Amino acid sequence: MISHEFRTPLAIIDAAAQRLTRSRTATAPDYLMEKSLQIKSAVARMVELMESMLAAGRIETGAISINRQECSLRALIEECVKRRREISPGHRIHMDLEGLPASIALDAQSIERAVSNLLSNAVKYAPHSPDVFVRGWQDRETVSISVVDKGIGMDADDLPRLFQPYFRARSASGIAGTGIGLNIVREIVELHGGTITAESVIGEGTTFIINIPLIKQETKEQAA
Amino acid sequence: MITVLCIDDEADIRKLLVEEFQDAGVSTLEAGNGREGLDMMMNHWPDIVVCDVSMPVMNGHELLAEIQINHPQFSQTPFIMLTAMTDKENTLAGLQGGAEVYLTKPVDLDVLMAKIHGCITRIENNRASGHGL
Repeated sequence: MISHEFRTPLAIIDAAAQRLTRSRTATAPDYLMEKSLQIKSAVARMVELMESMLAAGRIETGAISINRQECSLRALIEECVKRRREISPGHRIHMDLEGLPASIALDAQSIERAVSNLLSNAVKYAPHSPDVFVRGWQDRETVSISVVDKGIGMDADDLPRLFQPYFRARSASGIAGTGIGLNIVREIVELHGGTITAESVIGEGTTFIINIPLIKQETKEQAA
Repeated sequence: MITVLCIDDEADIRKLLVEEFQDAGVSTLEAGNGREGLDMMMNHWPDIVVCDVSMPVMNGHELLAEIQINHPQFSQTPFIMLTAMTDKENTLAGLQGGAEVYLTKPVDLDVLMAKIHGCITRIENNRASGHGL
């Protein structure tokens, strides 16, 4: 199944390159741009997949560690959304990040992976519902991020097993996936002392909410 | 004019294939899954179908089975499977299900077009001899 995940973006890159190299006439700039964007989007998709697999490997071997540093969670999420928009230009990702604090101590690299995985899921399981909503807010000692799609959703029976490695919801049948993404998200969130919840209605969509405690200064120092 | 129906849930793949088919002078139709593909077949009667395997709603194997069982009028329509699923189990399921050929992604477009041209020649010969395909 993982080979299949790689082969799809590879096929897009390969076909776009073949189309360009087989062209017998001068290539119009617009066409060249279109093919370049197709290739760029497919490469970004492969990089995401590769990073997810590396993260899964680190989790399996216990080699993943959290290095908290003050960072802008808002900028981090905006960067994830920017990348996702490149990969999935057919979707509209709406952001409301005004409620986030200016700075928070997080392992930026791993939280970026978690947010990217949630965005990837939201797009993948909402092929015909282009709107995805990302919201961030602070509530006392916790920051929260929600990712909401209006896609295929899943059965309530599948929710308890959703974060288990390699689990695929029944409604995901026919949609390519490795089943590792949400497990990585949960591991990363729990390494930050946080929680993740999922709510879903079949045919109506899914909401994921990450809650991460704001760590106190002394704890930050211990972590450092 | 020959019409090829291209069924794939990946819009970029569909777009690239459709461009290639149109360059070869064939008319094209598109569908994003097997169910949409079946609706297209019933409404437009394409001459050739190029179909992915792994798709939501109805996958390529399910579409082939649906054609064989409930829509025999399409059972002679050349059905080319084009998929990222490279394992033997899927290959055998596709060929035993009635696929003309089972090609894997990434595909050499020359090979795909050779197969399409082979199908077109057969369709045109059958039409010339008065046999429908």
